[in-house]
Amino acid sequence: MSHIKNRLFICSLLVTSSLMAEDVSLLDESLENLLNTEIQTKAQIGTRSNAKDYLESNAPVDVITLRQIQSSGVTQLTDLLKYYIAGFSTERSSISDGMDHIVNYSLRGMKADQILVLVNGKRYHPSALVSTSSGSSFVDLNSIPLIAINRIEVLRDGAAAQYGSDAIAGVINIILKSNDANMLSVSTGIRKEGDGQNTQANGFVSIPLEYDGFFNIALMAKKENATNRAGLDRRIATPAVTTHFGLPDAKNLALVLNSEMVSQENTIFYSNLIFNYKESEASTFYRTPDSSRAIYPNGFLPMLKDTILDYSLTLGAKGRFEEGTTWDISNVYGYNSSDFSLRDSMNYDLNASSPTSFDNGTLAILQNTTNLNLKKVINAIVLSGGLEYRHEEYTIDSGDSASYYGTGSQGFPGYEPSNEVRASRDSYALYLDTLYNVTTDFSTDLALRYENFSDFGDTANYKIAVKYNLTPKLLLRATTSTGFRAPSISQSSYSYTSSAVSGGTLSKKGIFQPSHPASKAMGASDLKPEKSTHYSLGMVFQPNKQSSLMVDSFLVKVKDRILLSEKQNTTTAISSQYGISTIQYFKNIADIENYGIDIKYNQKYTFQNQSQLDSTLWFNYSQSKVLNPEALSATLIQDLEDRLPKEYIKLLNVYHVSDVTIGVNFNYYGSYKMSVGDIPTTFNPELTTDLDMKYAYTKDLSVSLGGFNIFDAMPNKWVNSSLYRGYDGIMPYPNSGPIGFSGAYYYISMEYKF
Amino acid sequence: MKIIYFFLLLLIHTSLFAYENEDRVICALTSKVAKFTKNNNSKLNPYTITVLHNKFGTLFTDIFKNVTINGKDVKILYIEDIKNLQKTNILFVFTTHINELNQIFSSIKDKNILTISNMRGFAQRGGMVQIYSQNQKLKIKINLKKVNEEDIYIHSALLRIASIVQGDKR
Repeated sequence: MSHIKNRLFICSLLVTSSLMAEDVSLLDESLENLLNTEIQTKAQIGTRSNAKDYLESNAPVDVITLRQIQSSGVTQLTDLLKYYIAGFSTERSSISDGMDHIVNYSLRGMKADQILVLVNGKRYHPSALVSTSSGSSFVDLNSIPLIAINRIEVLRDGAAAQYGSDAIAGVINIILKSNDANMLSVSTGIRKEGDGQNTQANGFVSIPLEYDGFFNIALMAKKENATNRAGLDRRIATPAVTTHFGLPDAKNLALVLNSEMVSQENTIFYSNLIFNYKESEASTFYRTPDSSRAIYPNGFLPMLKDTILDYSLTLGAKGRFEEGTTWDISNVYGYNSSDFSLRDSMNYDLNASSPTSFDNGTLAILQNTTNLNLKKVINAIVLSGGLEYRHEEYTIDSGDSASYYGTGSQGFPGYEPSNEVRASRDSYALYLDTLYNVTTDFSTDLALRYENFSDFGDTANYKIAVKYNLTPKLLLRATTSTGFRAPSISQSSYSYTSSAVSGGTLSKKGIFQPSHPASKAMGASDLKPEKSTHYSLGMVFQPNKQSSLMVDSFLVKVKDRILLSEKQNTTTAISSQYGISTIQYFKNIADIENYGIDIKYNQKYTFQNQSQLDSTLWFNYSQSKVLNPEALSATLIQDLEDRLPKEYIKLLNVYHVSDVTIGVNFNYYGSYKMSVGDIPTTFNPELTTDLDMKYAYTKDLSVSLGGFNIFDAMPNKWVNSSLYRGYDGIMPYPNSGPIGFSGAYYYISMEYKF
Repeated sequence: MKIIYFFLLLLIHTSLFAYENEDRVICALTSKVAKFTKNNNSKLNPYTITVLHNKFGTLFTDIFKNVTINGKDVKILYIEDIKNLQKTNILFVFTTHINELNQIFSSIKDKNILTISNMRGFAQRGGMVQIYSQNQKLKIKINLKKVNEEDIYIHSALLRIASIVQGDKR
């Protein structure tokens, strides 16, 4: 014990002396050194005043820089956020219908639909897909290719009073590249098991325009092969692997155009187009042999394909009036559709006349946002405000008749004509944001936002943030706010039903709109917004320019969280009238409290040989607690409280010497729990290691070798036995753990700047 | 206890390089640019830097305290209107409306004043030295034509590491 005390004492002395050291004067540096000095990253998010150093923000903000993006080796946005942000978790589902084709994610224990996504500060549209497990529809982050991105700002705080609906867990602001170096890159990789080959090519060209304007073109093409970690299928006489359980086969093409044209009068006309086309195909469950079938009597494996079309077009202009007020007017049109089709399947009820390929229907969402923002600096006050109008549409088109006839196509029955919908809604918002720099060390920010939705009415929210520089090296910050998440138009409008033989008769089952008479008969009501209350308290300590320590605690209370109700058998008169036997619908169902803490320590070392080491140690603890357990089943409570790890630790290191850059990351995920039926399985904590080694052959040409989860960590298997989800079943691993279940991935990549 | 020990160990370090506040580096670069240029106003003593529409608080004053440029003390003047401009070596202009920018250029024409700004498009619009950031580093653009027109000498060392903007697009 005394030994430890002595060590602590010596460390304390060294730390104190380090903190007392004077900074080297900038004026003593050479011109070259000044131009090589890395400046603090600025972030626009968290306040509507000017961008500021992210460490001086009044709410916790993290920035992933271009250099970090390029040195990570990752090829898609969700992986990048998981790579750098502790508490950001991703889920890759398998044999989960549409959710096989999009990466689900969460931040600080809260779900993807509680995270607002902005591109260049403007709201980005969600995916048309609806997760029937988490009950949410969210932005497909991977529709934005990394090659087009300059930096990513992550606000870990509620901000609905500033940005509107969905900003409950936080806000992700993706800043597209402006005047950046032209480049080409290719990368290819493979899983340790020899499958999951991934090949990607990227190109970026920036054309300078007058007055520092630009026109950028970014292109990405990617092909991913499937992985398969399925267990033996014991339903057949000689157990064998019959099903694909893993990542899907996918082809992806993305184009991003981004431009700013500056007029003689200094008005900036900006625009961007983000276009993404993806074809993704995944397995459903294998259908075992049956001699009564005219087609596939020896069994078959239906393959479900999702063709995703996603685009967003932003047009806007910004400038400054002569008296100093700045203005920004924009329109963002976003569209996403998922077109489902099946191959190698059949409809049992059509038997010999059944087709083997089906068109299973299309989901589509459209979002158009028009915004006017004004900002004026009056002495120590930065006053900004604006108006926003948003129009949303959601459509479901049914599949071909063979896909839903009778019990429908095997693997994924098509959307029926009764599921077809053309829903729309509008909303208007008025907001005001006032930043008051009371003194040079103390500032307050007050944001107010009123919003009116055509479907559920209005809501008003506020945010108060205060920041105080106790010393030049220690900043204290606190926020309190209210927020909301409007029921997504997909949650209000979505239905997916199919027919099944129940008690000898064909009856309908599935998800019905909350407004459906059968749902109403079971207690459904019109969806209302989720309401949230937020508190955060934190500090930033910068003992010197080489290090910073951020500690931020948070408490978020969400009332009326919208989730999919559990499956209920129904025998009401109305259900009988519609021939419905089993029903689910979206419902304001849960009150949840999320709380936790982030501790993040950045350190930059420079050694005698001029090599540098950047290290970040980040601990995140997030706990979710259901406040109305009496209203929920034990399974749902467990899903809400224990499905995600509570602890995340990241140790990120980048070592740079001469022409070589080496990145080594250690990621720790705490345990989590899921159930099959009533049997819970606790999945062990997991530790993964990522490695990226980059050699700059010339100033413009570099080659990287690396891997993610290089030691091939895998989650433990379910504890229960089952033909399907069990340690001895087709799906031996959890469908959605934080490290997936495809194992180690190794890659090589090359980058050329010109 | 072990965690505390670990964090304390992490806090121990020595380093020459650092992440710097952008505003501070802009001020420091202004001083370097001053040292690498000469104009007829060089006889002005103390060396004078005038800041129009200051947005850096007291940073210019703090940074240039006890600093000399070309052997002279440095005086920082803050103005909100170009009409109040006195004799100066450097005019640092913060972002302003295009009409005022044109007015500024007109009023300092042939006065042999070096203009510096972090305003977008400044060099192309008729300013002389533009400081801008790109991927966490600051860079310099120089409108050489304008500099020559005002008979200001810029050292080749500065020209070597700056981007040269040709012409004046006003």
